[in-house]
Amino acid sequence: MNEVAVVTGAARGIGRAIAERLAADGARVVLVDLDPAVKEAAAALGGIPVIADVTDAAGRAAVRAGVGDAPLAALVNNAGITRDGRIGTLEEADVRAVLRVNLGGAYELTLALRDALADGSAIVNVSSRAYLGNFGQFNYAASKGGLVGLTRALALELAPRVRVNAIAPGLTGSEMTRAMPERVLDKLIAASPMRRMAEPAEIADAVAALLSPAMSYVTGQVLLACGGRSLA
Amino acid sequence: MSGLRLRLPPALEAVRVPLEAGGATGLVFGAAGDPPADYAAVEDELVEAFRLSREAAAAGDPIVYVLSQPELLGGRGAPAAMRAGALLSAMRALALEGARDGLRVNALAVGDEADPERVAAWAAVLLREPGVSGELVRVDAAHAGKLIP
Repeated sequence: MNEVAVVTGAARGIGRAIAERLAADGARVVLVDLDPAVKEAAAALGGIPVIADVTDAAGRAAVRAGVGDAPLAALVNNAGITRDGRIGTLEEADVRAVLRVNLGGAYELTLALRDALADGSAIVNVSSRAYLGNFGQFNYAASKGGLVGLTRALALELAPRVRVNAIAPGLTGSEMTRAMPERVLDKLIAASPMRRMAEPAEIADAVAALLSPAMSYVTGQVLLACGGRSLA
Repeated sequence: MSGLRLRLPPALEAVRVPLEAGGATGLVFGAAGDPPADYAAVEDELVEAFRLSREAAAAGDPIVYVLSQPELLGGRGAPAAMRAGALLSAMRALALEGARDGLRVNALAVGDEADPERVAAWAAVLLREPGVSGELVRVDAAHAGKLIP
């Protein structure tokens, strides 16, 4: 496979696992992250690092340049942050920051790469189970629900050339989750039907499936990869 | 301070008079039609929803977001779909968070042919009636046969 895949937020966590999986499948992966650690992540799998902020035009232009003239087969909008708090304690800046990275970055990067997307290519937006609602995450839930809306609109606009789907992971063993208090984390794991978090590689496998020809008639959908937590 | 807070775009202006006449209390945040031009406009509108919702939550007042059925399903372009999807999820998050305090937060999704009198009536029901939170009520049957967002 001489195809290019772009993964944002690829320095660690779910993004890095997705980049590893796509590289193992033979893609030339462009790994995007604000964190210079993306260089080592890219070196480890023979990918192309782009140290860039997807929320600014210069950063998006750098990603576009990283893709070059190659046909873009896959785009995974994964970069995301949290700034949790009950609504009474959240400030406007907490809302803007989370929306801008998680939602604005995904939308505007997709616009910047639109002309590079090959016929038959696919996009996966990394939403979250929190789009169904989560305590202390008015801003994060909004950003992830916005991504679901974006997924549907892009699926309609880009069909039949490009498929667009979203994945909604539950608790996953990444740095974002490890930032939570242990007591809270233990409670959430106990409430989960699978009684454990996901490994980043498990989420990456599901993303790879959504990108693959096995899903060639699936577009505009959200895959809940949350160990059954959306039911319990 | 409790009261009726209405934030209505031009496309939903017709629900103002019947809602005001009904003596309702709470926030009605309309975001249907008049699609945002770009991402910056989406963000501004979501921040406005956040500010008004924070105010209403502090007052213990119920909240209703009024969305559009075709916008929720992506049929009116990306900015409108991002706005609708974000507000639906924000509604669910706040309903979960507010449940222990008895705060109720719901949403309506209107079809293009929805009668403003009926939209106002259902908004009033969601503001007034205890026992329902985190719910999406679709006004007019245009959604039937399509995805439940």
